[in-house]
Amino acid sequence: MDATGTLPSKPLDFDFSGKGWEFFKIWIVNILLTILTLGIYSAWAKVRSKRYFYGNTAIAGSAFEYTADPISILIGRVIVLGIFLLYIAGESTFPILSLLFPIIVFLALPWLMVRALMFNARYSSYRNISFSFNNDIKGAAITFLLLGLLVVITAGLAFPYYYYRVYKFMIGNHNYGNLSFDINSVWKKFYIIFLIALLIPIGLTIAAFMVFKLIGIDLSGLSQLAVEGAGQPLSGVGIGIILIGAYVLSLFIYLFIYAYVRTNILNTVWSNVNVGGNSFESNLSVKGMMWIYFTNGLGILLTLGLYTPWAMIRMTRYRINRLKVWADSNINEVIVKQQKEVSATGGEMSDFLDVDLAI
Amino acid sequence: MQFSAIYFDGQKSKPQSVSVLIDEEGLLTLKGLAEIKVYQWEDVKVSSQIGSISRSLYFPDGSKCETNAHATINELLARSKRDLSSRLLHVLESRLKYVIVATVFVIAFSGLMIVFGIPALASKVAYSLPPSVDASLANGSMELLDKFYMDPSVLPQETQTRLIAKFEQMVKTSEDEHDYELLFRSSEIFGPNAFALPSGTIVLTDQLVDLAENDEELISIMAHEIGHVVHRHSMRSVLQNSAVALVLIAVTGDAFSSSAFSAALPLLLIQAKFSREFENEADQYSYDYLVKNNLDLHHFANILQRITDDQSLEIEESFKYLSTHPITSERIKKFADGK
Repeated sequence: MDATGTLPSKPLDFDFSGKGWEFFKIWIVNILLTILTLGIYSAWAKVRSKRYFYGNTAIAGSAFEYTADPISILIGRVIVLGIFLLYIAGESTFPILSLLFPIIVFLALPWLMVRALMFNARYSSYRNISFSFNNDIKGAAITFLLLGLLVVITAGLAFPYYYYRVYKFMIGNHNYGNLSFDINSVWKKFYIIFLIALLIPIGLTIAAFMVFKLIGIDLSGLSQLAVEGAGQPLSGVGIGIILIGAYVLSLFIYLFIYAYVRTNILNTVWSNVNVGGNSFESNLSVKGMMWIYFTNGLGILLTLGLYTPWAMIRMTRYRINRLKVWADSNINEVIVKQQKEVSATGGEMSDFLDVDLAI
Repeated sequence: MQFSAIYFDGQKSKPQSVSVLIDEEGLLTLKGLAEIKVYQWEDVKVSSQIGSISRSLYFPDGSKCETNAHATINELLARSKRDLSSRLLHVLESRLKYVIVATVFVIAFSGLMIVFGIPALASKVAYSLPPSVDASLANGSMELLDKFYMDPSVLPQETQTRLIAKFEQMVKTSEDEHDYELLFRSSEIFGPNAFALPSGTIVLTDQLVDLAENDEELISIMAHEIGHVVHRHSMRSVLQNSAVALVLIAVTGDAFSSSAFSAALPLLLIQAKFSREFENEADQYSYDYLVKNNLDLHHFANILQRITDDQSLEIEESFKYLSTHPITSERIKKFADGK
């Protein structure tokens, strides 16, 4: 790719340097203090975790930084909890609330999402230049409500397109300094990925039925067993082994499909993201992702959850280290975004609402 | 004191190497830029130390420095008695002994919550709800079961009437407010079996009635099913299972949900454990009913034994922890030893 186009000959690699044991210590103290403070510390816990992951993610020698104030996050959580408690308390006196509340939440969803994304972006920075998220409430409403409805109407046929639009909304509305994020129109690739994912289990089911028929197991016996309290028509340990075998096998198939979709979606999305002429490249492999999912799951299972921090670090390290940027513009020349004039009330309003409503 | 750092002016993404000097009076000087910058140390905000990520010094004009000179900065903070809580947090997060204490506490706390806290809370909530809420859980269940698993009963009308009369007598004496109803169904799939819906509908299969040698055996089974309703087992299991799922997701977060397959098994184990406890509670209800009404405890043991006779017990033993019902031999033993 070097001499052919406008792309520079060498990409910039992302680097993740977080360590499992180091993060475990932060994670366990986070949980401990959250329990001891009856949840209040959870805001600080969130900031410390995010700071750890951001601070260990670097490109061109500089790390990212999460700068949110835990107090804002705490206030956001208190507001959400307060509204919920008000609803619970009011429901018995005004039964109409139980009908209205879900509708209000549903309609407020685009606004809430945009607020949360704006908050997160504003307090994410790199080299002391913040990210930002466009106040695109209309886009959120179209993507999540209108296209979400389309998915329901089309019985899922529109899902890959919807899924693409979700990514487009989430990524395309971000800015870094004066550079805007953009994502190429790759919804057709989403359809191909989901189509293949759909074909895998269909093919496997047909194969499984043929095998079962061949060795002569009556499948109706299996469905009979699924009913609680039913008598076992097939005797003893044999059926138990078949059931466990089928369970493990279906887990692996599920895992494979999940890894296949996730890997290809992430690669497709990130390899088509463009930030002010700088393009990204993501090289995750299905095998690599599946291995991490499997070992992470096993680790979490065997340690009753204590392996979680290592699992988080391993997943992040794999994803970040497989990401690079073909930098077109000079990474040292990004300037801060011009602040728009806001009216005093608007300013106060947004100051008042400068809370993290993401739960 | 002096250390090196990278300076970012907050207008442009260009990094600049600087050296930071802090004197005894608390004057902070930045050298290495086009012009020398001077700040008061007390006006400089310092980010908390987390793992080994670099620290930020935020200056009042919106510019900042990033540095790895943790020791120097910690000493400066200690000397000016600043940011005590954030320094304390890092001590907690970096000393092995505190981490061990935290781990032990978290394990013990979660264990106690799942084994005692959540079930206790769930039953408190479940008992405080009116029986009508309980009944709403069962909406449509009977129709579904009828459609897929059960056929109309072929028992003689007189048997049905006789048993319904006895059932009415049983629920009349209990002070429970559910709308009790006894139904009969034939079901090859369920075989000799009985179950209760949270609404108070109790179903006996023809196969079970045929298997029973006397009405007392069926009474003991009906008492067991009434026990499920009285003790709100459906509502409690819904509450408990969702609470445990919430706790697991809260603790393990994304890592867990992204590998959902590992989430399934612990949940299954915990749910099965809850379910076995409910079966024991229902057994206890039946036990108490039989004792109170001067009926022979062996009736329950006998019918249970007959139900399980054609099933293989070895499979039950080997799946003890996955099973939703307690081991039959243990259940029978309790009633057989009772009198």
